[in-house]
Order: sequence, then C-alpha cells, then structure tokens
Amino acid sequence: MNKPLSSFRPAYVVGIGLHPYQRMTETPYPVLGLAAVREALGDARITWGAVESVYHGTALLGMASTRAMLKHLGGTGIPMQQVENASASGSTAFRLAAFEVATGVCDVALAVGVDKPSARPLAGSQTGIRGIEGGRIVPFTHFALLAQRYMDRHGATPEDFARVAVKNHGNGAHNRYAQRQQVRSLLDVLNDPPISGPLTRLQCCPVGEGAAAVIVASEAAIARLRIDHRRCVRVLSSAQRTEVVYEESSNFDAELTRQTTAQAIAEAGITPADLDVIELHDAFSVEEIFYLEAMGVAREGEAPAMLRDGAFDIGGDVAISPSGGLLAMGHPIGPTGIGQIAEIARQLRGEAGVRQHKNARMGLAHMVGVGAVCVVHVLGMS
Amino acid sequence: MNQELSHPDLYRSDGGDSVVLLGMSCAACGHVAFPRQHYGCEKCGAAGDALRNVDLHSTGSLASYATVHMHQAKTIAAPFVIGEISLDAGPTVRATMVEATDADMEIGARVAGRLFPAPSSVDATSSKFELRFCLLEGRS
Repeated sequence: MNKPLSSFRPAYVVGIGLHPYQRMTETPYPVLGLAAVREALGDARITWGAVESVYHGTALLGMASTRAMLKHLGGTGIPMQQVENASASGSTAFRLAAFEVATGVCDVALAVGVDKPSARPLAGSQTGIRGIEGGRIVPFTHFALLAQRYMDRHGATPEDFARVAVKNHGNGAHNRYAQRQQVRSLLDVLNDPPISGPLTRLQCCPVGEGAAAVIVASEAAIARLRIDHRRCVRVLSSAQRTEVVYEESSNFDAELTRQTTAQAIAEAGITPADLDVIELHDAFSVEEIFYLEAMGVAREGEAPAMLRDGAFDIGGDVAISPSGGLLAMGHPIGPTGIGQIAEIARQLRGEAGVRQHKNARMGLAHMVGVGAVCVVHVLGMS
Repeated sequence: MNQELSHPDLYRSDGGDSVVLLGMSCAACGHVAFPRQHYGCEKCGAAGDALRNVDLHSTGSLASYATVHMHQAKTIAAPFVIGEISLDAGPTVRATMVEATDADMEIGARVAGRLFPAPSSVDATSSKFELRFCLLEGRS
C-alpha cells in the first residue's frame, strides 16, 4: 500500500542555497557544492552539526562524490548517499529527504545537488538493444518532432514556442544564479541559429555546472533550533512515477507528467487553478507548452494563446519558471530539481525581489528525466 | 540481389523494392514492438515463448518530421530530415528520410522504407546498404 507524504508529520523547507549555474570551468565540484550548502545553512540560521542526513542528487560526478565534498564541513558521521535519477536526480534526492523527515527517521535532512558536465554514455545505450536511428535522434530532435505534430494538430507556429524562451530568458535576466542572464526579444530567439525543426539555440537549455541545496526539517526541529517559522515552506505532496506503454507513445513525457502531476495535486488537496508558481522541465521551449496542458493548467491547444496574453508571466495568472527555468537558469542535471525547490520557497516566502510573483502561496516543481521518470512536488505557505 | 546490410539484426529486404523491420509481438497481451528483443514484454512482462518474432512491413504514414540543422557528432553530416512513421503494422518508428528537405512533407503522407547504399561506403567496392524512409507517390 502506498502512503502519501501528507499521511505523515509535516516536513518543511527551512533553508535554501545555490552556487550560480554556469558554463563548465576548472572549478572543482566541492567548491560548487560547499557554497550552496553553506548558503542554505546560513539561510536557515543553523549549523552543520544540526543536519542528520544527506541525499546528494548527482548524475555525472561518478562514484563516491558526497563525503569527499561534505567532509570539509567537519565530519559528524551522519549518513550520506548519492542519488542518481537522470534529470530528476535532484528532485528525487529532495523527495527522499522530505520522506525521511516526515516519517520521523530524522528531524533535519539536507538535499544537495552538484554536477559538472561529463561525456559518459547513458546506460540506456548499453542495454544490448539497438535502434535504427544510429545516434541521429538526440533529445532536441525528439522534441522537434513533437513540436511539428503540435503545430499540425493545433495550428500553432514557431513563434508560439519561441515566446516560451522570451519569457524565461526575461525571468533569468533578473536571477543572479542563472547561467543565461540576458533579455531576448522574439526576433532574437527566432533568428538564433536553427538546431532542429522549429527549435533554435535559445530554445534549448544550456547544460553547465552548479549546485543547489535545500534543508528539510520537522516542526520539532524548527522549534528546537529556533528557526523562523514564517520563512518555512511546507512540502504538501511528493509524487514519483515511471513511464509505461501509452496509447500516445511519442509524447511519453507528457503522458507521464499528466499522471504524476494529477497524483501530486490530489495528494496536496488542491486543483491546478490553486497554483501561483510552477517550475517545470523546460529543457526545450516546446516542453513548457506540452506540460502546462498535461498538468491541466491550460486546456489542450490553448497554452500558446495564454502565454501570448501574459497568463504565465510573473504577475500573470500563474508564474511559470520565474527562475528562468532550465532554458535560462540552466540545467546542470543534479542541481536542477533542487534549484526549482529553492526558487519556489523563495517565491512563497516573498523574497524573490524583482522576480516576485505577488501573493504566491502555492507552488509546484516538476522534472522529467531520461527513462522516462517524473517527480512532482507541491509546496505551500500557510 | 545479395545486399550486405548495415544492420541485419534490425531489417531486411522483402525480396522486392521494400523493407521489412524485424519486430516482435507478445502472445500474452498482443503488444507489437520494434526493435526485437527477448528480455521481456515492455507492456505485460511476459517472457520466453510468449515473445514471437514478427516481420513488420515498412509502409506507414508520416506522423511527424524535423530537419536537423546541426549535430554534435562529427561523423554525422547535417542537415538531414528525420521522420516519425506510424507503421501500418502498429509500432511507431523514427528514421532518416531520403528527402534532403522537408519542403514536400506533410503529416499523414504515405511513406515506406527502402535500402540505399550507406554514404560512408558509396565509393567502396562492396557497399553496405542501410534503411531510409521515403515519401510514396499518391498521398493519402
């Protein structure tokens, strides 16, 4: 029997920290990770000694990366482990931390994500089952095929997809942690070098390096450590699913998103209309359109018109990817899902500065990953 | 005609112009899939004798297409056109199209697989053949 997160005691995000996402440098990964963890500890105003458990979302660093980094905070002997779940590695690490606190296994857990780009092949290429594509169909072409079908079915245009990038680059321009911090016009996006189908370079996320950290705590720990309860954001639900054989086989990420989001929203006891901010997996611009419709935020075929009318802007009906999303904030893999949680916590606390979506009370974080896997969290401010 | 194929584990000539894809079907649940594997049915988990080899004719309709303008691998020259094909036999496959541009492509158009000399072996004495899909005359 599956028990939802809400059936256990409350778990809260009490501290957030990031190292800026950036192009790969010579900086060793512990420098990235330690900056994010120290910022999160400072944000929660607690010390490293209060942390009782660590889940480290990382897909590319290799074996045994966690203690080699965190020992520099001083050895306390607490359990630490790496969590690899493709693009959802960080989201999965956060889920495990939230469940560990909610179920009472510990009172304070750290979810941290750190990665640097690597050329290591995916295990999926080593299953012994080959396809006919011969490496010619990479993710951007998968999404270009889905984009062409969407245009054919709904009369959408390349401009409709480009507007996602315009919005998210605009948001990222105000985020000091974002890899891309430049406002881009519709023409900038459309005239950028074409990559595949209607997708231009600025509609494909940059994969660089970075780190993100989130501290999860119970009410008991919040009281004991005298953490400011007004800055604590409750984790209302956590859903994780994997792909099955779908009737609509090509856009499996959207089908998986539909099911996983429905579960997360139901467990939180809300409807899509209750959401104020959403951070979603916009690795490619067209994905934002697909997933908003799969989540029930927009009706099928209507997301482009809502986007054009400003419904998804900061200050609109629901702010989509106020951080800049994967497109502008970047997608360093392990950190990405934890960075989403940090952005939603910042928004719900009302601490997002010029990126602040007014009166944000309810947020949703969504990642899909190769596999396909999907992880969705709902966070709320009481 | 004795053609050496780039991927004889994935497809073969149907004896005429066209190509059959080497697929599988599950006797337990009816799921038809490509490529062929014997690890277990992705839909119901059946294994062993339940998994049957079936030949899937390569005719179908174009479900989508995309011109790929750049590719990271230096061995793959861009641009080229990828098609998503709904095979009449059931599964959806994605493959390289013969056409150099997508100008004449239309979702729903009839397509089929053909064997063409692999670009890398055009000048070699014994050229290998590989699968490409192409638009058929007389659209749907």
